Amino acid sequence: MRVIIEAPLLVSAQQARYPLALLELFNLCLDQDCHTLEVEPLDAPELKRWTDTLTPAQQKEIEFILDASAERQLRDPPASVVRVADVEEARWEGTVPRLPLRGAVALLRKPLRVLIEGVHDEHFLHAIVPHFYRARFEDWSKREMLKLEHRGGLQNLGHALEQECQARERRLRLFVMFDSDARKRGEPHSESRKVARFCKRNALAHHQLERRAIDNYIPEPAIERWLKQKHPREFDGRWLPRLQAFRLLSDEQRHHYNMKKGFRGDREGAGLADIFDRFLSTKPGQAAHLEEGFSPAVAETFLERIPDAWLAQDGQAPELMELFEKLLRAA
Amino acid sequence: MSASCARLMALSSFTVANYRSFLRPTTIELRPLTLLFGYNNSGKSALLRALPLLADSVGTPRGAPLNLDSAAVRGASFRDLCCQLSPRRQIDFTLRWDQAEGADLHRYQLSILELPGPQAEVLPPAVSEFSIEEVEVLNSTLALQGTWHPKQEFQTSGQATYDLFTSIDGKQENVEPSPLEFRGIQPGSSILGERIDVWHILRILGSQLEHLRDNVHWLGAIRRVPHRSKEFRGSAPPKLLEDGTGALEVLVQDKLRGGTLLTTVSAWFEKHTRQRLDVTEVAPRYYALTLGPLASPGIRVNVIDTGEGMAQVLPVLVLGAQARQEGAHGSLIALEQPELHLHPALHEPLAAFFCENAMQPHPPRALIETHSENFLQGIQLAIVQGRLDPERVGVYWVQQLDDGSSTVELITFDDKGQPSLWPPGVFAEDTELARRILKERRAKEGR
Repeated sequence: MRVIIEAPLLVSAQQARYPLALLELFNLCLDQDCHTLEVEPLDAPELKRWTDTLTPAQQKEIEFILDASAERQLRDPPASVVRVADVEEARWEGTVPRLPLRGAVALLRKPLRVLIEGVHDEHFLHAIVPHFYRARFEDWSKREMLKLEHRGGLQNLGHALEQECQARERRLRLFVMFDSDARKRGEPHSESRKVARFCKRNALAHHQLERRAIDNYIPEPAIERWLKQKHPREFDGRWLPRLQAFRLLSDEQRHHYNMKKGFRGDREGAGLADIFDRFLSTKPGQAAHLEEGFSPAVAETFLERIPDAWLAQDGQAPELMELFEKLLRAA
Repeated sequence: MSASCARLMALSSFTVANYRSFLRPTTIELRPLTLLFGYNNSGKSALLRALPLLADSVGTPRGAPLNLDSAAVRGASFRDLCCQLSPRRQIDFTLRWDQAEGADLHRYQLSILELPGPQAEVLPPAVSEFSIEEVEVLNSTLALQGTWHPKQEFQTSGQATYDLFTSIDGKQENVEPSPLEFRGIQPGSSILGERIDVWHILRILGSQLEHLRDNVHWLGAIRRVPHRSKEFRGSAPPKLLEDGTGALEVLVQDKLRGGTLLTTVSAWFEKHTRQRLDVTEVAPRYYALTLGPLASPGIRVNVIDTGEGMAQVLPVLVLGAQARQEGAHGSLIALEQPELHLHPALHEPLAAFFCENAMQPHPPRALIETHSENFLQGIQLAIVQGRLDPERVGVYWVQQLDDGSSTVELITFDDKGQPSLWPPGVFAEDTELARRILKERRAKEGR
């Protein structure tokens, strides 16, 4: 989170009342490198007046945090911004909230809560994080600056978000990732669209997956690896023909195939999307292998890291880059 | 550098595949200023040196398409150049040129393959496939594809038979299998006299490749200091060597001809080091490069007796100034660590020099590999101050993945100099060290 301290706060009655709170704010930024801190204006005389009251060791730390924050602003600034001001209560007018000192401290103590649908989504994030962002994602997760929380399916997630957003402060420490449940390219399910709309309306950092669900991000070599481990004896006879048929699907078809329950699962549910019509009519033999999916356990594939090369070959690298860029900047 | 030619366009991008650690096709779009950043051993130099390698491989009289005598490969064999993550002994290159009205050639792709001989001996690699696209000839758009004829073995002379397909305004036509002789990566056209269209397309490609050969200028990271003094025999070398050799002769020639190169290079020293660069005749026909304080015009010190950074940056500036003179139809400079041995305070002025190049009306193109944070910030500063159009600069982060293959991520800038993305932690290493020290210190003090 990007924290901008309005200079008058540094010499305000509020700061005199809670002198440790301001130091705590700086301490949080020293401990948790997801936050940056700056004083506005940059050359405010109030800063010197305040630091003159501190020990030399403290002054050095303050100087460091401000320098480190300025450097991060140059390259990868946090996306969510709050101002810390000489106000008694949080002010929510405008795009950047102004918080009192103790409110800001309380906010920064909280991790970024990443709301996802289920445990497999957590495995998904850890398995597919691009090399570019991996070290930071893993470090921040380990140090609990990011906290992944499961909220059941899309409907439950929608309800949970409504609850969460009742407290405005919470919105600032939330990121939401959810399936599109799309049956064809660019047509997310109404429930998913509803969640996306809610996020936009409430300025919540979020990512709606472009493909139908996380299972559709399993690159084909990863499915093969998993099937061979899970069903070594049945692989050649039962699973290989299914996998070979799956390879024949177009990108759009693979991205929207019901990986768990196959064509039959869709037919018995909301109906099979027309993007499969041609495949069914021209390759009925192959299509028969895809009647059943890869089983509800297919997301277990994400228990192992997916190599970047497979992600790149599968064409998902640009979306994953965007997802993690948004997620990490939201922290 | 060669004179510019109206119909010859600047190279706009190049793609490599199965080359060094770049297993998958990797494209570098060449903007007026393109920077390569990445950790050691990520593949930056391999990418950058693909340009001088290709330039050195144009029209080379030896049989192999790639000139393995090029300094850019440092004695590597063809196999060393192939990605070890793949059993394929084939490298694919694609060159694209700017598209503009009247431009002749847009794209040239070629695959170079090493085949085992009858006794499994290693034969010289050969071009197995090539395609030339979008050549406008006599108001028609022409393309040519060639595939090595599998029934014919490659001849040791470098001549082989290719199945050729032409495409005129989208209509494909088979040409009789024809012998072609590659001179390096350049397909020869002398034996295709009957097919004027094919002959024409190959001639146009030849001109564009020869232009590339003459106008790619590469400066490596290990540079020699200039000679203390050198006899000038009347002409400077057409190109600096990759170690910077030739900079002295170029500046001597420029001064004798009353050119502006020396003025441009000296202007940089004057502005940022308060020293004037000059060419001093130390004996009849013998010249030296000297620096002297602006405030004490009588003092002249040979460049090699000044700080190491001054001598190291000299060929960089000479090349940059030459490129500025040449403009878009001319130079493509490939520079490895131009900031080497310079104090960090001078990295930003060096970046500013290249930003100025990039903002010329017809800018040359520079591909620069660097580890300098200040160089990057110099670019950001130039953008935010309006001295550099963000469209004219691109950064590639080159990274090696766990399996050893390398990939690139393109980073662009907005008009505030903010990068579109940035690899977390890069250039924050000193900050992170300081953070750790401060935390340890706190723990020790019991705070």
